[in-house]
Amino acid sequence: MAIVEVEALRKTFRSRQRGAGLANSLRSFVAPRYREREAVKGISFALEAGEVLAFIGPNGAGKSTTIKMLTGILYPTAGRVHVLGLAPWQQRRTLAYHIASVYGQKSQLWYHLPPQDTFDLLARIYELDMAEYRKRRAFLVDVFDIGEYMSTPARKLSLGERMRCELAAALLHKPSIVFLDEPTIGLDVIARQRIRDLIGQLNTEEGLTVFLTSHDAGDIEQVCRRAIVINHGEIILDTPVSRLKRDYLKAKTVDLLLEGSAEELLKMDSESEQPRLSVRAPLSIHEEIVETPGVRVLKAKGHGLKLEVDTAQTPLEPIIAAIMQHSHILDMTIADPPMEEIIAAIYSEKGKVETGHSKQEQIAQEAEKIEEVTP
Amino acid sequence: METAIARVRPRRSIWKRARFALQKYVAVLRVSAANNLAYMMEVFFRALLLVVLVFILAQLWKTTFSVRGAHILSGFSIGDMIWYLAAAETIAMSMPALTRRIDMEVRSGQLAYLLGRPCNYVLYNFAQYLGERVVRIGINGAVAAVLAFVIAGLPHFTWQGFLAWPLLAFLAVCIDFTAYFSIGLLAFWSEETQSFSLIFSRLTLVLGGVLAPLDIFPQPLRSIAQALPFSSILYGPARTLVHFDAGYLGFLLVQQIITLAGGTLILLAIYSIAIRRVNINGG
Repeated sequence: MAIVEVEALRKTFRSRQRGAGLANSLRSFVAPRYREREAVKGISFALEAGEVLAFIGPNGAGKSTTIKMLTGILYPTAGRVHVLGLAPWQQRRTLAYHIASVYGQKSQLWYHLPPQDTFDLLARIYELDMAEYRKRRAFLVDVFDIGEYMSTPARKLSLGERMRCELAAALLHKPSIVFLDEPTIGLDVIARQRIRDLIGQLNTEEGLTVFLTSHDAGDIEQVCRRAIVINHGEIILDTPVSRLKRDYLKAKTVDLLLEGSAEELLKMDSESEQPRLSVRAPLSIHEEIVETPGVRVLKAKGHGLKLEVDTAQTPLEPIIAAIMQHSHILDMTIADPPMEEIIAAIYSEKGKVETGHSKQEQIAQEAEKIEEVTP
Repeated sequence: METAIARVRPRRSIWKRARFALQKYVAVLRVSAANNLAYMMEVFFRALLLVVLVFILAQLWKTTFSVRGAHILSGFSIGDMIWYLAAAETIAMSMPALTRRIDMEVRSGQLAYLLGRPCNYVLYNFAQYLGERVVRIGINGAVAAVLAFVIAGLPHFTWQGFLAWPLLAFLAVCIDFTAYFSIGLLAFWSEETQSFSLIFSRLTLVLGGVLAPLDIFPQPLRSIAQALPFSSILYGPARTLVHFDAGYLGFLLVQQIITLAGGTLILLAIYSIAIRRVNINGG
């Protein structure tokens, strides 16, 4: 059953233009000029109950605008939206009791007060039965492991601790859908993983429907089952995450800080005339790292080594193991491809498909012509 | 789908809904007051600025009284004058940075959190503002009273004036809310709202009678200032506390209610237009 239905949703912003210099400032005051920007260009999709959807795209793609239209904060320019059967901007207050939204860059906790006070306030705002509220709070405090922070002023909490409290606060009223706008932004690796695990856990245990926007491909990979990629206000891909991972999230960037020199590590061994670093793959085939298919050395300078590994061709583990045999690893970061690269890859893939389609169509048309001519 | 929602939220009588709504905004007020009390010393030191202002104005008026060789000026003794200044400054200096907060909420998108909640944005902000202002008025009032007592001795308040003051001060801070909140909402159109806020606050200080009771002003400035809404914010409550006059109290209440009604209408008009053109940053 679809609990979010979006049809040809469009949002246009109008902003005032102002030229440089005094003369232009005066001119814009007397005769203002406006520029229209289409933030969302007629998108359509549906979200089923219990689904975890990643709504991803680069900055300015229209993700937050879409969330704000779905939660009733923004009025759309055109189109139709139903969330839990309600039109968000017409029935915003009613809808608010059944949804929750968490914005990674904004806080709903009172800055100088402990989260406990914000929780109590939210219980009143959502008109919760106080006995039920206390039970729910105890459950969320336990799940999110935030018991020790409940009495600490929000300003003294780390970003990760605060985000866990933010999420727990948003779920107090048992919403059917939670809209998460970049919930892991600015968090360190451990805190990010914790948030991802918690979102996954609540989806599994409570059947919570999650609409997640993120820049971070890792969020999508680990939390979501379906992804919609949006760019310049248009949906360019709507696919299962497994496919997105297979096709577009395969190139990982491994950034290493080694104890020894990275250049030395990659040098050819003078006796065997082989690179010192080799990878022993599971099938016992010796492959030099520089020749390993799917591995590319991006940078090797001083103690820093940066590799790009196509996990579809080579798993990460043996590469890291091979490096560890020759040098201690002081620090390591594994990053997903940036959103811009994923989008470029989607466009290039779509281009190929479209070209392929048009070629097939051309061949089919020519074949039809031949058939027509042939008696 | 709608039936599912109706099942979750049972229909409530109008009284029950009103009770829940009241509890909601009282909770906001309490949290806001607690948030401001988190830094008690900071609030207290801010109140010390009031000491400096009242002290300087008291010295100026003492000099004026002695130069004129008068014990009473326009019906005010020096003691009344100092208690009047303390009462007026208590309200004037308790104004939180409401315009800046609303302006920032509009520009930063923090507004999204509040709009996405089952509560009225204006009432939520009113409750938050009231919580903040109650704390400030309480501390300012205590500091100003001690200072006025040290400089001028015991006041000659009547019990009627003493009882009327909280109501008049409440209506005054409500008027302030409608003005500064409306100015903050102008952030939807204007790139700078602080200038409007500054103009309003300066007009309130000068024409509202914070430096001297309006009775001291020469005619026709006195009549003009008394007729303007600014006088109902500072002069009216402070004068009623110091010089209770039942006739003036009636006039003041009517003036405050009309000003508040006008301010509320303007606020709601601006809000209803603004909310239709919400253009939150980061979209």
